[in-house]
Amino acid sequence: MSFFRLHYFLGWALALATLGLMAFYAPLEEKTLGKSYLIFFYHFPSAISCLLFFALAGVLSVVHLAGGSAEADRQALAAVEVGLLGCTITLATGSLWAKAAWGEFWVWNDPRLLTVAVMWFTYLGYLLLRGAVDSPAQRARYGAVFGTIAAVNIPLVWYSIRLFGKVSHPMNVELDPRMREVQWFGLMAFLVLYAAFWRSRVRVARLKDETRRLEETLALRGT
Amino acid sequence: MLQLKGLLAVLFWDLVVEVRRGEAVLSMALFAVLVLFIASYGTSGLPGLEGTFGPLILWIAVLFAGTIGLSRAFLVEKENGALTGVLLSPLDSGAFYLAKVAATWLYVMAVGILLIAAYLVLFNFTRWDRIPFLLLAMGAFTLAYVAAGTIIAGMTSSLRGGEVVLRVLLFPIMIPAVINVLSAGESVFGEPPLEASRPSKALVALLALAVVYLSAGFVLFPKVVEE
Amino acid sequence: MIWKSLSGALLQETLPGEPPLAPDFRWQVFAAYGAAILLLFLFSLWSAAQVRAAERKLDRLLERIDRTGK
Repeated sequence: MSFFRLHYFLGWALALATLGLMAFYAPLEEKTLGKSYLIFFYHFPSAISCLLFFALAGVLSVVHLAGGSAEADRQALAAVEVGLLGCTITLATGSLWAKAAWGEFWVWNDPRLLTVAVMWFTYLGYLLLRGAVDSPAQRARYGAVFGTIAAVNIPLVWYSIRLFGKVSHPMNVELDPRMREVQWFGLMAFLVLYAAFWRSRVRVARLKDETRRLEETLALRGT
Repeated sequence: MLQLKGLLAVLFWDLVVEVRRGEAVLSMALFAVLVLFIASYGTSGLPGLEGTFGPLILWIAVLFAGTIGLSRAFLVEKENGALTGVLLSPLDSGAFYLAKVAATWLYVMAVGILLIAAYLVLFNFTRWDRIPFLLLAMGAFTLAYVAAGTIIAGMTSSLRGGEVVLRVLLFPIMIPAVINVLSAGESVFGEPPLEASRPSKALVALLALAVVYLSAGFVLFPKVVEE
Repeated sequence: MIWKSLSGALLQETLPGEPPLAPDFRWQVFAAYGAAILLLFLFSLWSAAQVRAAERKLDRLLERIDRTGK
């Protein structure tokens, strides 16, 4: 089995193992949230993954701008796609969490939920921008410029909401040792899985670029 | 300094063109005042809502009208193919960016001041002593907005469907600025804020945002215009 | 200071919480887990399909180049 397939297999196995831990190992109830707290075990990994991949996209965007590396741009695009996937899951699970903790599916005074929502819109725009540019070199450049702005903006969103948003609703989650074990295991599992997705997306981007290059060669030869 | 002279020249040229054609500021102003007008009518029967809804619509009107100004900022160059000319000149692209930001800021600020005047009338606003602070907040907000918007408009002005893409890209980026300006406006429009120093802190934060976006733009804009 | 605010962000605020009156969403939580896994699975299927299609296209192009180039 190739390393890539192995990576994928491992990721899925770990994700399902996390489910098992959630069902049978982790304590059934938590003080504040009762049985609903279990959602934390995949809300947390998705949120961290989404942040990490968006940060990675920011770094790769700067690398592309600095050196013109096409590979850096492909990896940045892949990171945004995977990050957006994690972001969607974070929003959906966060919404369920909000319902359990505060009785509503959406709240305006939780900085985390709002920041993730802003990220979702921002990076969806990133994909829209790339879709609107025809020239590949320009597409990579514009993507990198916006990727940099977006990455710089995320901490600004976070601190603006924390400091100047409406009053923050307190949320108290108490974790005992067994919960922490499952939490970090789940994080590791989903990071492995999302990394596999990322590699897959990078491979798609490479193939597409290679195809385009060959098509141009053929066109130049007049065939 | 050659760069400073070049910057001022571009700024001056932009202003002259706008004064002669006058289209953008007029359409921005009209659009913004209409938005405020409709909001004022909509909240007229509901006394509590005026205080909260009015200021929000003020900033949203600035945002929406401002996109007209941003699109226009590059339309002029694109129409005459002048962008290539500017790039070939010894003027640094970053300096060109700052000139564009300065010009667009002046237009959006003009619209903003007009909008504040309209707000005073439509919403019966009488706290005259808070007007200077409101003007400062408006100035800082529009500076942050134009700084980030110019970078993005530079990219989208040449794309198909660029107008829509500009708005879709710009509004999520502007969310910190909107949050800060709403907080700064607390001392102007609403009841006294929870912490007396929050509005001033928010104003400083807005200026900090503007500085961040300006620096980012100064560095990134050359990448936007390079061929 | 950044770490403090981030860790506060990640796990818990330190204000006293409410008593545990939260509704029991146990099966919804597991159903949502299933939905999330399904979404991820569909994403990987879609990505794999794109890889296969791109590889096929690439092979065809290489064939054409070999035929006409020589």
